[in-house]
Amino acid sequence: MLQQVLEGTEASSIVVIEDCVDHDGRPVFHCFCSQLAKRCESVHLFHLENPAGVFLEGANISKVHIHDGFSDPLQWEEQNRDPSADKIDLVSAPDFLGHLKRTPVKTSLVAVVIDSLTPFLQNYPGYVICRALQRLLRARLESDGIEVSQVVAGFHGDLHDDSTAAALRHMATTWVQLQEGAESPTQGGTGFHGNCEVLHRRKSGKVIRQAEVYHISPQWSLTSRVQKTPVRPVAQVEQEAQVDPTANLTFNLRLTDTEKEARSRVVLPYMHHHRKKAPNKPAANPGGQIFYQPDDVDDFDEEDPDDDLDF
Amino acid sequence: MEDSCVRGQFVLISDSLTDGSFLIHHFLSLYIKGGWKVCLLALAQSFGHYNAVGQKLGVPLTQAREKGQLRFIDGLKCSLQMYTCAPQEGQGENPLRALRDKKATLRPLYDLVKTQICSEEGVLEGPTLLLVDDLSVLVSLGVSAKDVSDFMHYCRVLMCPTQQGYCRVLMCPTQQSQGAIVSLVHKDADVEDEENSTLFRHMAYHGTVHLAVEGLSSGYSRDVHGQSNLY
Repeated sequence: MLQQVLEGTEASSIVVIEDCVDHDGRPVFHCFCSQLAKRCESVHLFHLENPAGVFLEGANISKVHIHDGFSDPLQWEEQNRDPSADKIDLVSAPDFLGHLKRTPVKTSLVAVVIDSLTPFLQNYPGYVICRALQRLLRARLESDGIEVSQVVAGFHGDLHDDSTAAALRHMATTWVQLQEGAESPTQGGTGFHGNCEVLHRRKSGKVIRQAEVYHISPQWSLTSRVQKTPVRPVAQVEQEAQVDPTANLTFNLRLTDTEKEARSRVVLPYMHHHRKKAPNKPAANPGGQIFYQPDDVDDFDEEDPDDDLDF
Repeated sequence: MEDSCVRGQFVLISDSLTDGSFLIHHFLSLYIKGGWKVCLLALAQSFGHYNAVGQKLGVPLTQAREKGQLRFIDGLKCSLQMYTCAPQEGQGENPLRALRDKKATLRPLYDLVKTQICSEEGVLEGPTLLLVDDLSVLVSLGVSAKDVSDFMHYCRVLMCPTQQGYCRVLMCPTQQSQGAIVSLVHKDADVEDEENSTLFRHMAYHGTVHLAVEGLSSGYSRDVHGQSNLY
């Protein structure tokens, strides 16, 4: 499914790649940048966490429009700011569509890649970001002059709470949660491989969730396949030999059924049970009774020197 | 890790149940000996402490400071001044005024770092290392993990703007980045500090190399003090 979404054979309007500290999502993100630059007329890269060059190796750079949110996201470098440059800042609410409209080249088949949503979510509530993403997808060529075919966004799952993740997951048509990953040194360079869980919603309403294994070549092409669950052998129930302690004895330790029933009916001393009190002994406390339940560690003294204990 | 000064790298040192500050002294002496300009943002110790250790490592920090090779920012003194001085006694110029003013950010601290290591045009003058010891102190004093992350983001843009580091093929030193960053974050496994854990995760995303220092799983040993993992 991941490979189909990447290649465009499976339609998906919003793809979110969730990674964490232990499983870096940048290689998968890089593959999306590279593939979208091949099959789309224009790719808009909003980069806030990494320099743009990190994701452009092997991509057709002429199709990529870079929106810089990396060099000065909080406007701390006022003296170096170029007013003509289209830069992303976190001081004002995110307006992805506004940045797309300001680009001189207007095409119909546009892809938007966002690295990543985390800086926006750190500064604004989740619904503001969701609304900005929705505006992107609702843009029409006739009214806005631009139409977005796919949005790919990165999301660091370990930096946000569950409610934010749930809101984004509800909006995304494909959610890729990376679970394991490592480098794959090969002769031509270094690739990557890993496991992920893909949650994909089709327009028909069908929801597909599957675990997949992906491999990224040094040329940034990604292949994936469904992960086969390992067949676990049926657990063999071991028949433990039950040792009968009452066997092979010179005396009898077994009880008959009647003896077992009599044993269960034996009233144990000093235990709480319902019985009639002696008529010549008034109740010590007419308002309530004390029932003594000894613990294992109680050192119960059976002697009653004052003869005032009523058992 | 190779014992050489590498440009364009953001080295994150984390320690758990041990003290990883020995790596701060190691990198300080390594880069001073390598002829780099070093800016030490000291939040945990005084200059005397680093100088004493540096002398044992054969690096006289006092001379390096007088020559201008070492720029020392006394964050420890600044943080103390924020808590001991009255507001009208110059807290307005203190780079760590975010400690008292919750609306303030660490932008003044970034401006101070930039003036210490950059030329008037705002660019680095040769190979420069920014050494931060340590970031957990800021969180302990009440600065949010987000503000610390924003500060380190700007430091990263200043020191290594064209860093590339998630693929071994791309990890060769680039001529465009003149700087490097080494910072320490505490990550004690026996302390439940959500803000500090969030800070560590933020820094892990910023960093290109992660050196995790921890004690031995078998317990304390006289000869072997701990182990470190490189990610």
